Amino acid sequence: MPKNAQSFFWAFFLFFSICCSANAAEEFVVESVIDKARQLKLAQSETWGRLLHIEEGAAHGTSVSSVLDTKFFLTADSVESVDRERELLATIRALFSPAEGASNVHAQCQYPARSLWLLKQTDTPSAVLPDVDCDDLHKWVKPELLRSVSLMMVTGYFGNPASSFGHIMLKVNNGDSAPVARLLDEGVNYGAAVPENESMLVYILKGIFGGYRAEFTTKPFYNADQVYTRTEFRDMWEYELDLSQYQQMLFLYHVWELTRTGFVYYFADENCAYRLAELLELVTGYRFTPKRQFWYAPISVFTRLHQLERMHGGLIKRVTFVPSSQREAYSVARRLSKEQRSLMNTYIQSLGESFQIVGKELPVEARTQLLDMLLMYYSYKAVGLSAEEKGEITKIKTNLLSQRFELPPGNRLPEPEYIGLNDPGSSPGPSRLKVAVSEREAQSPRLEISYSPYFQDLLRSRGDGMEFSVADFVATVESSGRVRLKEFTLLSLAKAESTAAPFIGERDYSWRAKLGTKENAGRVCDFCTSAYATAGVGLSWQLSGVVKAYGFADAYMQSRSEPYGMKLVVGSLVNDLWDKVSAQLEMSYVPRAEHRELQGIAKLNLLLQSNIELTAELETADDYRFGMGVQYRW
Amino acid sequence: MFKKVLIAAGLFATALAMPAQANDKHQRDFGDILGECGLGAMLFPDDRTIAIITNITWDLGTTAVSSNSSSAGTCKGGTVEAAKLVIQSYPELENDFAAGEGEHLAALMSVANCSDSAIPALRADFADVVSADGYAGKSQLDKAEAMYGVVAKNGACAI
Repeated sequence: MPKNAQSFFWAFFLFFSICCSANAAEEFVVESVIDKARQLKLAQSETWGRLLHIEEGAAHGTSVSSVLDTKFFLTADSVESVDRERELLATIRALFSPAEGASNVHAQCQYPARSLWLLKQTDTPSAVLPDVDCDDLHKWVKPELLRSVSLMMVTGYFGNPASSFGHIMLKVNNGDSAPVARLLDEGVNYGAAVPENESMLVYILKGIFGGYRAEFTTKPFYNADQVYTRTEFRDMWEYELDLSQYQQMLFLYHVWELTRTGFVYYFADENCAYRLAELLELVTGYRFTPKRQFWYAPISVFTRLHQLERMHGGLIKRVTFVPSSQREAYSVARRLSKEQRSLMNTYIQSLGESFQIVGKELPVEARTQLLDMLLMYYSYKAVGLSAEEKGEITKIKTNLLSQRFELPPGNRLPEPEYIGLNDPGSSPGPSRLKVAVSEREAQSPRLEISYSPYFQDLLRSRGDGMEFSVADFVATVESSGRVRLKEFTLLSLAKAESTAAPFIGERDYSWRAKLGTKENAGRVCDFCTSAYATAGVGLSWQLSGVVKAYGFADAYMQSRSEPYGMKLVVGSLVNDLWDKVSAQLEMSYVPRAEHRELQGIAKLNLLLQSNIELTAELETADDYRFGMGVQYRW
Repeated sequence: MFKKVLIAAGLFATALAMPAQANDKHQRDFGDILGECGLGAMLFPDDRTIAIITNITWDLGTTAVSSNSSSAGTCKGGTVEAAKLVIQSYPELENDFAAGEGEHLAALMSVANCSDSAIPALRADFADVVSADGYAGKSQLDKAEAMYGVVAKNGACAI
């Protein structure tokens, strides 16, 4: 409607409400908004479908919603038969219904996102809605304090199968932007309601096949900070979104609407990442959730955000690293002076006789730093200990606190530095499809096709030294057209982050494990396949911002010949040199009974575009194999 | 979970021993807050002790003020937020009180409506709490209650 016509319309409404009965005036407005909604075909719009969580592929008449409760709707008797048009009209009428009865129950309080969107689409000023008391809503969403909305990427955690792929949550940033204020921001989590003491097997099965109800819950962010960074020692990455005020309000109002219902939780696809991605789709209009895919990992939301940011801009305001308390303690300790570190470790080592005056020979500032460092150390160290062990630490910490209170206030610990860690969303996506040509000594070249839904090897570890790949298939196509399964990796895990801890008695060993099948080309038998499992422990060192070195002692078991054995491995990694080049060089020594063998692997990845890499690989053992190809990531 | 059960068991005796306090909504102590708010109060409105235990067992009291719960209106606001923050972040707050600064202490100052001038007195009062006999052997709930008391009695704070 042209602006002049709009002004005339609302002036007419004002006149009508003054001179005529209030009911007639309201009815006039409601009918006008309904007419407008019909003209604009809002009931059929994509956004209305998203607000009702209508499942894709459903017809535009009666549709199936993915929410679990009919109370989410005004008109539906079943979530499997939602009439979009009827629900839209009922929503408009409910929004304009008189404000009667208890506060917080009016449709404006229950459906603020629907209200905001409908008013915007129909160019209706919010002032024409009846005044209602939505106290609970306005305690949670505070437009006057709202600064921004952030998505938090919580890194993977192998202590729980459901957390292996990481986690995603929402942070509502209120008030000023000082880092100190972040703890009081509002955290919004989406997760399955798992009964206490659920067995791991039942948990996995129900997680995969949809046996749990999942809901959005809100708590101050310090709860999540305590659990993820200070108990499970997981890093977080904060992606502050660059949304307009309208988009932010629509986002948060819809989360509010969803806190009154739930969804079926599916670990692989309709998980936390999927529901948060749906919210992003609602407010940005961009596609985030996959159309035909049976998995969806949290990292995919962030790689898509980066992709859209590169294409259109205006989505990511800033990305901030939030370290685990362990990483922070390590980093700060490494930045103390050599003398302070030595005194710190002497104190830690002399646990039984530790009630000594710490660093009494140091100047006040250096002694203050040392005491603050030890307090930080014992806080992180107490996590996960038995009551008895914790009791000992509590005594030591109490003594340290008493000493610290005698010194002047002020935290003068060095600022931590985090070397070599990259924003995980800036890397290509987790799925891969690779096409390569490979040549083995004395054989004709073959085509190799590799596919994995989730592939993160050490080359793509973004500096955190984590490898986590699932269901990686490598097939070869011979010149005759014959296709063979060359290798299938069911699961590959590794942690090869720098293990040089600054605290005495503490070494965070690197480890790795792999399970799968592979073709034994020529040596054991001609193109036979054997199942294998390997596991190893070792040490890793961060040599510079992009270079790591590692060593492992691996044990292996396999189904054909030499059923078990071991090998010693040394290697070096270059991650994201100039943001484009990653390389790995690995040498293995295999002490077999009949002959000792040296094996070598060299890999090079060159990022050509945001999701396309050029790969080269050389393997040497009794013979050699060289391959070169192109890898697509999404 | 096992850890939570151990903590809950350790705190059980404290919870049972908590006397019923006068019901001043502006100066409620830990027992009142844990007994009157959250999941515990919703499930066991007539049994304060069971309500406290439920709140402690279930996420160390964090449900005592979970959003959108049907807790009474008096279970929202600065007093409860401060109590919750103290329970949840006690080890970090101990360190911040010792240093006289830090992000957890700043968060507590904010929810307890303290002015910056409160910090020296808070630090000195909490130093007395730490140096008192038997501090190391106290349960975390007792320690948190003592820290909360230091903040509540400070004239430059308003909880």
